[in-house]
Amino acid sequence: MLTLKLVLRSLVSHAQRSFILLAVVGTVSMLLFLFLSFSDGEIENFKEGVMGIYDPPSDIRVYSAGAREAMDQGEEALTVYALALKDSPQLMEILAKRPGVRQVFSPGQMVRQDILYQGEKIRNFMWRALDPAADPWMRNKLRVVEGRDLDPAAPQPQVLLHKSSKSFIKAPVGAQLTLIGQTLFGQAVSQEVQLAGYYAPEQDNPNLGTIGFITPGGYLMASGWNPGETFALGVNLEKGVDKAAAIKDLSAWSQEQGLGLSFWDFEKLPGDVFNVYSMIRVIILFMTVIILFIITVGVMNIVAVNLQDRRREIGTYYCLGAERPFLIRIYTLEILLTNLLAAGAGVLLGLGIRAWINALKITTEESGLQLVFGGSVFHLGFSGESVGWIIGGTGILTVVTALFTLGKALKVSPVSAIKEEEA
Amino acid sequence: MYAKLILRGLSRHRKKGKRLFILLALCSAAMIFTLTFQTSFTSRYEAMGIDLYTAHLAVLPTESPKLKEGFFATNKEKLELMDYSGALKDRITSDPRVETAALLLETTGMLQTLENENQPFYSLIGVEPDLLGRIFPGVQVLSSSGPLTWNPAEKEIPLYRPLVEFWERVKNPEEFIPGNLKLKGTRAEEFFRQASQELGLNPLSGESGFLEALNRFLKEGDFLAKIKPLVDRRLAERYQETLDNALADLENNREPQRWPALKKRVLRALYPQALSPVQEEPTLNRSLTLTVPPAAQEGVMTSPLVLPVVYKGFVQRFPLYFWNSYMDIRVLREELGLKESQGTSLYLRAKNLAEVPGLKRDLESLIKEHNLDLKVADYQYLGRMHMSTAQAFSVIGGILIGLFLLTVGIFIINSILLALIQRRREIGTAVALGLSPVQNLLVFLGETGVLVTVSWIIGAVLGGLMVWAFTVWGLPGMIFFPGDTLYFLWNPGAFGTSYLMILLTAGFSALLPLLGLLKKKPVDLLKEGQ
Repeated sequence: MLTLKLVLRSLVSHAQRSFILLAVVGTVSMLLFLFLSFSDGEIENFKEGVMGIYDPPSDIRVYSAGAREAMDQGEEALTVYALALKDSPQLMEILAKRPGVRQVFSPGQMVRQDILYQGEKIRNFMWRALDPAADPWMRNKLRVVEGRDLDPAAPQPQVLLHKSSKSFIKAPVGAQLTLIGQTLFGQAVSQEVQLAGYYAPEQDNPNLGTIGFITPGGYLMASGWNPGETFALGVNLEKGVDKAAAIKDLSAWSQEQGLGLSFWDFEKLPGDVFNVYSMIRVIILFMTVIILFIITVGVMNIVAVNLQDRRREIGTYYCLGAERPFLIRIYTLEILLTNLLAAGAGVLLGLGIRAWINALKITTEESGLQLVFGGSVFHLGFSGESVGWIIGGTGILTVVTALFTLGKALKVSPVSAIKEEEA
Repeated sequence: MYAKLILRGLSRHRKKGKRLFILLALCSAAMIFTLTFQTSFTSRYEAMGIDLYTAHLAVLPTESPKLKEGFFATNKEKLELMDYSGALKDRITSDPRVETAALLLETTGMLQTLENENQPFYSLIGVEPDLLGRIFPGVQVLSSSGPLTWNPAEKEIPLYRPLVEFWERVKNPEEFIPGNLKLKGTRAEEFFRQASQELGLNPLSGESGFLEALNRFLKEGDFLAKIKPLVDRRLAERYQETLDNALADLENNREPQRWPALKKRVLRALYPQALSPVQEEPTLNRSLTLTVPPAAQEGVMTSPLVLPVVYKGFVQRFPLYFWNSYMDIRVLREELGLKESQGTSLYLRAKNLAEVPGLKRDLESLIKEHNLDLKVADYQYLGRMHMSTAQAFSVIGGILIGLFLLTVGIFIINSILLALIQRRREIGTAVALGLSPVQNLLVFLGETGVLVTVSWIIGAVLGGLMVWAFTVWGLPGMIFFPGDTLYFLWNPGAFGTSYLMILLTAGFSALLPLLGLLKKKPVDLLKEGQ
């Protein structure tokens, strides 16, 4: 308590002297936060943008027992999809009534089909079912840039294609396309569809170029599912509900009801590792460490000079009976609080700048830049890990500064408290 | 006089300036490292693109998917063909600037193993084997069991595919591991008992004991003899065919490296409920079936060409972006019914990079003159997508350099401010002896300049050592490059640029607080000293 009191008094009385330290650490913390936010933004863009369309996220994924294991172990498609959830609308209704459950939806399984148009085949399109009215989450991820929205009630199945495919498919809105390929169960299938229009994702990425959206009726034909069948359901929980506890409850309930379901934490499911973005994050973290190391040297300089000018104060402490460990504690705590205050201020300022930059919605059409940004809209993200890095780095900076400056700075004779006054 | 004053000042206050000196040296080293990293990344990336994917120039049909926007424009099945003959050929073969010209057939293909398992979707490039290493020198053959050249007398066509990626690798390919067991708890125990009895195993208890015994069984020489009596056991009909096929594959196999995987497949076919599917890593001399779309699409379901191929080599690929396999172009031409002069793209490699723009202009004039339905694209256009990655890293590097300069600036300002306070008496004395405030300012600026220069020299040595190390051993973790390693290139400009930037920043930063000195009267300086 005494230590804290003394430290706080020192901070107030030497505020001017500490200003440069605050400015340096604060500025660097702000810039490092923005740097790390760039990496967070890439990952968020990719997760929400590309992966959000490939595999819409949820808190919990629901499968029939054995289905997820079969897929992860590489069982053939016929075996895997035979373990589909039957009568999913009823299941969704039952699940939605469970305590803690906010939303239940069907994320769908994309199916690969080629497009045939005017005698030319373009391969490897991936198709996702979309009913704009029933699936606003997915629908809000796109903008129809040419043509019109999908109409599930139309007499013929309709499709939306990514705008980049227009340059090589060259089909006008309203054109008749043929989708050909295999269903999820390996059966050959071919159907005529109408091109409703071209879309642009809100968060575009070159990998989305071959993703098409198709009305639910057309999707059933392409996928081979029976009505009501789906491979998995997504469950989103109410705010504040513990995921692990919810999974346990739901599993117990399912067993009790004899439903034969398995529940999985979506974030822990094996999936694509964002190699590129993980690597960029590692590079950025490495650069952060280098910058913090360089800054530490400068901070040590400032602290050393500050303490030099406070020799009389230190001498007075010795005269009053204070011992060296006590003084080390005081000054270390003072440096720590200054650094933390500066880092905190830097992060707050960084959050403000982040909000401003994100509000600008800087967009790029360059595919290569979209790959680096994780999407078409430059977005600075936020993660606790980044703040943790900065605070942790500040802590290490404090320890190193204290180690290399306090030793010499506290070698002051109590006599200097009186001597300097005479001089 | 100035030199004397500057050196005396530095010498007198050298202890106080020690940490600033270290900071400046570290910043210099970091800037040299960052500048070299930027230029090395960009240069290497561009060179890699040329050596692996774009060459220097490409002559393409006007409708070529490579000229269209869209990452997946090349998914179009139909081949846009060009004719490499006549005036175009004469011109290129006689042009001294052209080192190599190669007509390629770029198409797509689907590969299936002999067990009907689909392999990843492929971009397939038909090329004359002798020209592959000359037009794309980066496509290094990392391992091979034979040439790419097709021998019509042999049944299988050689295929060079990209090196085996980490997601294709199989852990413990010769054994079953705990992850291969699908059953848990009492059901697993029941399976261990059943399989041990049927296969004549003597396992120790538990999962690890069973796996050890099962893996020993896999390695036994009389595997087939022990398995065959079990074949008559009642299996569901859909599994019987799988078991028959697995046995037939094992009996007919002539590739020794596949014995372990094929034996595992037989056991998996016998116990489909208990053992997970067997994955096989791509290996040399593996036989597969390649289906290639015909040159022209007719109707909804056109029969593809089916070719028996064999992996004869693993080659380097452009990391993250392109996945190309290579085949002797003669095979594709013959199967697709094309003439020798027909291809989808003509790639050119110039003797000198500087000659590329001129060569491009001349070819464009020739095309226009003869009214050919062709376009010329250079490596910058063809590489525009992947070069954005290099641009992004340049921007990141630029931000870092800005950070280092900001650090230098802030600490220089701080040091000068402190010096003005602590050396006020000294300044006042100098003024009293006749030195004007402007002269004092110049002395301080001179001290800053000397400090920056000397610390930069130390930093340059440190930075130079780091750059040397990464030139020799490479910077690891760079997944954008082959081997995940970026080898730096010496860039003398980085040294000069870093010095200039630090010197200017330090000078400007020092000037800001020093300008206050000009407003001070000599009396004020002396007064404060008292």
